[in-house]
Amino acid sequence: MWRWCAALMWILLRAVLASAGESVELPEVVVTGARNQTRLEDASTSVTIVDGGEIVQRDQDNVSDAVRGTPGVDVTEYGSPGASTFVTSR
Amino acid sequence: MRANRNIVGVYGQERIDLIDDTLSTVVGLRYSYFEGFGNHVTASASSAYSFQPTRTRLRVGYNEGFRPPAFDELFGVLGTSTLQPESSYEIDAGVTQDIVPAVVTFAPTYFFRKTQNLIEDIAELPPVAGEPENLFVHNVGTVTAQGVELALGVHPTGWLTLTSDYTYLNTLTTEALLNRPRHRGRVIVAGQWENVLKPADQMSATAMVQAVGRRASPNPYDTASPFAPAPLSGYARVDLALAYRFGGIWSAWSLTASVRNLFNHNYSESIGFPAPGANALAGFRYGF
Repeated sequence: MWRWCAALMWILLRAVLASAGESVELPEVVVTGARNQTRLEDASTSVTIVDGGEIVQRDQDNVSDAVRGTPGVDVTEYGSPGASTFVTSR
Repeated sequence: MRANRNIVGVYGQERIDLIDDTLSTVVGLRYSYFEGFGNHVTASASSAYSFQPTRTRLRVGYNEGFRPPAFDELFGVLGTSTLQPESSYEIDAGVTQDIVPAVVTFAPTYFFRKTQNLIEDIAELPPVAGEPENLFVHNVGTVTAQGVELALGVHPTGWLTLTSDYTYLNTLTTEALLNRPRHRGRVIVAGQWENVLKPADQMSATAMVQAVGRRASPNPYDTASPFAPAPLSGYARVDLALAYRFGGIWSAWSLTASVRNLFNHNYSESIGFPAPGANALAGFRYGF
């Protein structure tokens, strides 16, 4: 019991320490589909970004849910979530 | 079993910006050697032009592709050792238009692709002894696919975002391709608020509607020809999600909750594999 309490305390302490620092502003999203790094608005090809923040907001916990519905991509799951998944494009 | 394949690839690419960087062109050339499938050269080129007065961006591209069959397609449970590599070319053209700057964006794209020897997989369904080869991984022949993708983004206020996209896909081939609906789309409405309960807290709510049209699916109940393609009706599914991220010293923690298939719609993504009914998830995330 005391071990579990100690582990929980450690996690909470780690959380407090981790969030004590200042937030970091990430650089603008770039795409590398054409192998050159490019700003999204400069891309010469059709690009869809699956944003990490949106994945969290939508509470999606696997790749198939994250890319499902992306233009040009079809996802077919054979059974329950996490089962064999079949992806086709265009 | 063990299988080995040596692959050599050399790739060159150049980006050229002209007319005060409003015209951007990327050209590429790739040489590939695949052991057992020989030498191949593929090319790609794409260009985009920005017309600032109307906030319009035009895109056009041409790409070639070459894909030898993967090992599981050759030697897997449903594999076919005599598969041929597939080769393709694709042309696409599109526009990204700011209809209302920073508020409404619309991006339609047209695509056309022609594939020789398309490798068609029927996923990991069990093989059926004595069934013809076209129920296994096989080359379809020449497949032409064309269609339109429409993407709409609306950001009317600082907290509300609406995104929507639609794909129309039309394939011309000698047999029905699996899992390629002609119509498919989704609408996502998301709200995001800050300082809800305490300063620096963030909360978001998302509603997502996905609709997939009628398509061909392998039918395990077909007694005459098990797993032969059969039509499968379309479906629509509604998901909801909430996320609450704490601020200050608790900013590594978030609470999440979601409901998938909100209206408990009875549908299948593949014949014989019903999708889960309405289901709810709740939990928390901790970011390291």
